[in-house]
Amino acid sequence: MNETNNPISEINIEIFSPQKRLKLRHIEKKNENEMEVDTDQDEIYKSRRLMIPGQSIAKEGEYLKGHGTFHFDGNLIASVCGNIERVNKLVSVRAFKSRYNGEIGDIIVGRITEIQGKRWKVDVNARQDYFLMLSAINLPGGIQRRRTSSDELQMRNLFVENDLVYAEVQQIMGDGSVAIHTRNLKYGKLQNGCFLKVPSNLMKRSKMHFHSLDECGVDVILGLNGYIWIADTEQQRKQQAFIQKHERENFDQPLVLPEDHKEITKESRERIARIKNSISLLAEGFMVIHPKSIMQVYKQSIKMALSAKDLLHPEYIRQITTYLSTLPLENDSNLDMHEYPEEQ
Amino acid sequence: MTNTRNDGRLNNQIRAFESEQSLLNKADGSARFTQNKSSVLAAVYGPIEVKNSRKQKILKSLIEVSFTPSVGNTTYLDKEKELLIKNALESIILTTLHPRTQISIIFQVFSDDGSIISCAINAACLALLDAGIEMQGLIGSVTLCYNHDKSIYLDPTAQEEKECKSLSVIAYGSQSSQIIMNKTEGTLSMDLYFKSLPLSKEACDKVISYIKLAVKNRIMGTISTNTTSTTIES
Repeated sequence: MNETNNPISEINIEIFSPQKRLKLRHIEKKNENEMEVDTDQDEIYKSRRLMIPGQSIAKEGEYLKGHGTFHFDGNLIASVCGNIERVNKLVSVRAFKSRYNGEIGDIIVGRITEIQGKRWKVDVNARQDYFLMLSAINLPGGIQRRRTSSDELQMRNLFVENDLVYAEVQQIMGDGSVAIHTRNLKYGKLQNGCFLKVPSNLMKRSKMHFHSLDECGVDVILGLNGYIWIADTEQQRKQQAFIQKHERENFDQPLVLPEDHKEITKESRERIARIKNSISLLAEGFMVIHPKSIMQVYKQSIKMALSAKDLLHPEYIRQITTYLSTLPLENDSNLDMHEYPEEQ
Repeated sequence: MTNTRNDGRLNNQIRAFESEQSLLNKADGSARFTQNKSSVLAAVYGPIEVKNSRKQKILKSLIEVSFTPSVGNTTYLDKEKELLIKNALESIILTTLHPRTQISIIFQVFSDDGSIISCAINAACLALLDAGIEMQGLIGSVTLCYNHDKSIYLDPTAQEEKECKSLSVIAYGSQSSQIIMNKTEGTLSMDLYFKSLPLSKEACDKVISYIKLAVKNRIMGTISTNTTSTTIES
């Protein structure tokens, strides 16, 4: 096959969209480290990094079959379009864009789609709806007891369809279904904020997924499944205090937030919109989304005196992504890119 | 070979391909495949939870295809196309990987100037690649029409489809190069049919190599994804 000496395979992989031809800086960094470890006589690394379904990776038996590969006719063959990843003998192909695949401990944002007996079904941009058991939530007031049939009848008082929840993956069942839980005070229903969806491949696993961006007074929750929640810090704090007080004092009554607790000032809405568009811009440019990169876009947009809505103009997207790719890489432990596929 | 076709093409010349991926933002994957005046948009949603739980399959994912023509309502003819496309795609998608899920593939025809099923299958292949759905390999499809004077036209236009004696839609997979789908209309001698197979094989290979090129170009953003029309040597 002259696939290997095809000039295309020599070219650096860039952001995958004809309009946005920018390098992913963060990915480059990873490679420098990677090269030191992996300079052995590795056949599969040489030039065929971009795999296309049906393309053969190696002979069967040389490597172990990971995600995105299958055996056929004595060969190990890619089944998705993406980059090769290799951990010792295990070879997998990671698609550029795919649905979210949950792992235990992942912090996610989801939307309730259905109520079924003892559980809520939650849409998390995965291949199936995840479920939230009635026994896997904190009851109002934090009381610990068995969930009775009367609790089952009152499930709609806790979460109704289309509510957003902030949760954690609890367990993956044998049949592939996934249970999530909200048994932590910081998890639970999200209200009075802004929701945004980005490709889940851009999210990076880290210790923190809740970030209070102090410079602009905005809270963001970066769910690993690509669902993002943005809200005003001040308002959320007030709201949280009210809910906690309510649960302590009269948790058997339904919670009604007073109007003044829902209030968000015009300036703060503006900032939320700017953060939202900053994240959309990163997603458009297929760049990693983490608080640092969000703030870089945010600050740059202010420096360029753009209004929040102008941020998504194709020309500004191009300018800002170009600017980001020229930024020096900071040596930040928070920025370890072990999540990212190796690219040239 | 003399120039006999209305649009000045040779008998075994395919119209130029043009494609675009990821043009819809809500769908998991989308692509548009254009051959001159035939243009189809394919959108892939999935794998997702099965909408109608009665249709759920225990051991594999359900594939749903919906085909909307550019004008008018869907008719029984579109239902037939849906079925053909569905069967072709089902054999290249690794459906057993995600049981109890659904993959919906939706086609919208922009303009129809012949070879529309082939165009849709090629668009679906690009859209499935974009959605990151596991597949055995790629799929490429062409349409052939057999004329009364026993000549074969590759990639016919709507006019040629109407005037021909018989028509066949063929899809090949990139893996082991086997016929995945073949639908023939009208009367056709066995000789002519077998004579046309190497031609269609060659043409499908061209389509598949175009699809590979389009994907590589999109990811590396280097060369434009338009091709000039391709001639297949028989």
